[in-house]
Amino acid sequence: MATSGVDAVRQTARQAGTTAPLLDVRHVERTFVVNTPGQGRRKIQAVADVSFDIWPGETVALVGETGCGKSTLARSILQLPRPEAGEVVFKGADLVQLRHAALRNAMQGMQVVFQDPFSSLNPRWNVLELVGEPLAVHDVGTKQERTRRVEELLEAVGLDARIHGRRRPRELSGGQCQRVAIARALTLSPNLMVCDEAVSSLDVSIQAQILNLFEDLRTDFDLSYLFITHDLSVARHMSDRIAVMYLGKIVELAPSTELFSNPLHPYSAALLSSMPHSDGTATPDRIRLTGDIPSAANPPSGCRFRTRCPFAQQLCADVEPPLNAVSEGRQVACHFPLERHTAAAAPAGTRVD
Amino acid sequence: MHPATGDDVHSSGTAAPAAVSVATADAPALPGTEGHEALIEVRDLKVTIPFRGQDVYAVRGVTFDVHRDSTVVLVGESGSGKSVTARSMLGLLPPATTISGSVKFEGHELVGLSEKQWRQHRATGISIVFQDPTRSLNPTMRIGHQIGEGIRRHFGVSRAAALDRATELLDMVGIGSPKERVRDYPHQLSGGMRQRVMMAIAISCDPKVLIADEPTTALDVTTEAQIMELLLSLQSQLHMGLLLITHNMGLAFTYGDEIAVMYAGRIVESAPKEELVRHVRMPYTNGLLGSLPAVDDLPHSQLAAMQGRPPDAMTTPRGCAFQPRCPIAEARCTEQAPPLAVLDGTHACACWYPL
Repeated sequence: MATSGVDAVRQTARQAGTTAPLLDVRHVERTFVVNTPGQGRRKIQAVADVSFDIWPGETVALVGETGCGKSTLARSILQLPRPEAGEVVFKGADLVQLRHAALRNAMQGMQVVFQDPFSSLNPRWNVLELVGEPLAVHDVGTKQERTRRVEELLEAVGLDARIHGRRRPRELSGGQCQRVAIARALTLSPNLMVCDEAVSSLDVSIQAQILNLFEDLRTDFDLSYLFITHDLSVARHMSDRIAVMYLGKIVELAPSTELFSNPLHPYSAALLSSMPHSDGTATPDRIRLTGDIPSAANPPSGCRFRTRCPFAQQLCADVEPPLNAVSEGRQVACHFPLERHTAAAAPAGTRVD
Repeated sequence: MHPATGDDVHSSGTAAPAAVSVATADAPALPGTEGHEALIEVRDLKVTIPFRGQDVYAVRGVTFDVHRDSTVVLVGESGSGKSVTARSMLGLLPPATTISGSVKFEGHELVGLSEKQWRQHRATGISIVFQDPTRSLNPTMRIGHQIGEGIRRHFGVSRAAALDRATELLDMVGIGSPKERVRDYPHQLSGGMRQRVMMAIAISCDPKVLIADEPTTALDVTTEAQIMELLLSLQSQLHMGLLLITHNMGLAFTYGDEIAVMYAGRIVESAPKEELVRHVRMPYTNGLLGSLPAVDDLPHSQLAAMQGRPPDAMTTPRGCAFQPRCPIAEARCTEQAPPLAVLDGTHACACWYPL
């Protein structure tokens, strides 16, 4: 039973005449080779065979903890650098196959906002120069037209060209810098914005402002988002669908409301139940994970999550569970997905509080 | 005889008679802590730190208590002064800092102590767990040695005895195979395990008060839950007072007994958790809670974000520091800064028009 959110997005896409996703990521792999004294040469599979798509007008959140590969996946999609294997089909063209000018042109429609607003902006440039650079690089319009566009964009993100235009990043707050980064990302009229922990460095009260800004821009500029975050509340708030990653793989993909009300993968359930609530209530049926995240250089056999999973069985060690569609818009990579209430499904002897 | 104050030194207070914290205009009595002695009493603490020729008014008059067997949370955004408040309890502020007001630990005044005097209180009296264990642990020393360092210094035991105690402590903080682990270097441990080592160091000399300064900010949410529960378990085992510093409202409400919200160097609201959950009085606290994305929001809805941002710590605002962002501010708010006033027995608020 699909939620109306996802259906609405698909319907809009169909009405607009599009039958293909805006971004189609297929079997992407990204491996790092690390040479450490004492441990020799090891391969770290940061992203191991990941596939998902984003439709026009949709926001997909990528959530997961440290080392799950979400940032690496984002950078692979942005071709920073391109992945070793797989396809990244954006507006019909596979970016992995493109080079030089062809790649640059194809990438105009995809822009990025990074986590740290201070390190992602050149400290020696002022705001007008920073936001204007993409237009200058791509030789868009006349100088006057570019100036006007920069002023419009600054206004769209809540800044004033007259007040902030000549300031440098160190003369701005974190929130203001992030607004500059967003304006800069909008200059080339992208279709897809990749936001990599874009609000994680900001104070709580400023986060709310920037999240609202993202929503306003979504409707004003007809944007789709790939929103990477470790904060599940933010993911739920911003997205239509959420992909949960663990150790380089997507373990669950679901409409956001459904993921929260009915997680199917034990890891998703554990993440959700670990979130502290600001009304002081404890979560019933809290799943406690034991142990630490295994090394990505030496992932467990079979299911990568099995070493911390309270429901793991022999099959989980022998066979890696594929990411299967279980219903409209829902996929899970698990041999024993959870039923509606975890306590009922827990095998005897497992820790479920 | 205490060198600084001339007081007779108090015996270790495990069986001390109850010292009830009297409700004054400044420090409301905490319900359920009558009978728990106040280990730390902060009265009108002000901290000014010079920075590049200018004064930063980090803390502008803060008053609260930390009781045995109780958890006080100082919650606020960056620049609110919460970390500086915590560090003032351990003498961890830069030498040129100006501190006024009073911070008493078991009746001893801590403001104005010399470095030598501070060492009598650190580790054995008050201890701290910092935010980033990677930066707080010495990367060139084995963890057993680091845990044992404080023990040897304060109790003068042999290296072997300190190592045994370190192994015990590793077990207490939930690190498996402690006998082997005690020889590890920090880089061989995960972030969660390093934080456990930090906690082992912090409790190694049986402190009465433990300060945890953003202890889980660098950790993932599943590890965070484990570490917070460990912290509370250690508190209850050792009967410590716990002062938790955080910007995370969810943590504050989950783990605090008493919550004090800080803004621009002052406490603007303080109450026991149940009372604060029931009724938020300060518009800033209300605004902060309201701007958090909640799990039952509709996706793509607007958050009730507050406009503006916290004031510069180098300026002294006239009137209430929150006034420029406050949805219900009136003329009085720009003219006079509201004091932290007790509204009823347990709930204090610094606002002329509490909600």
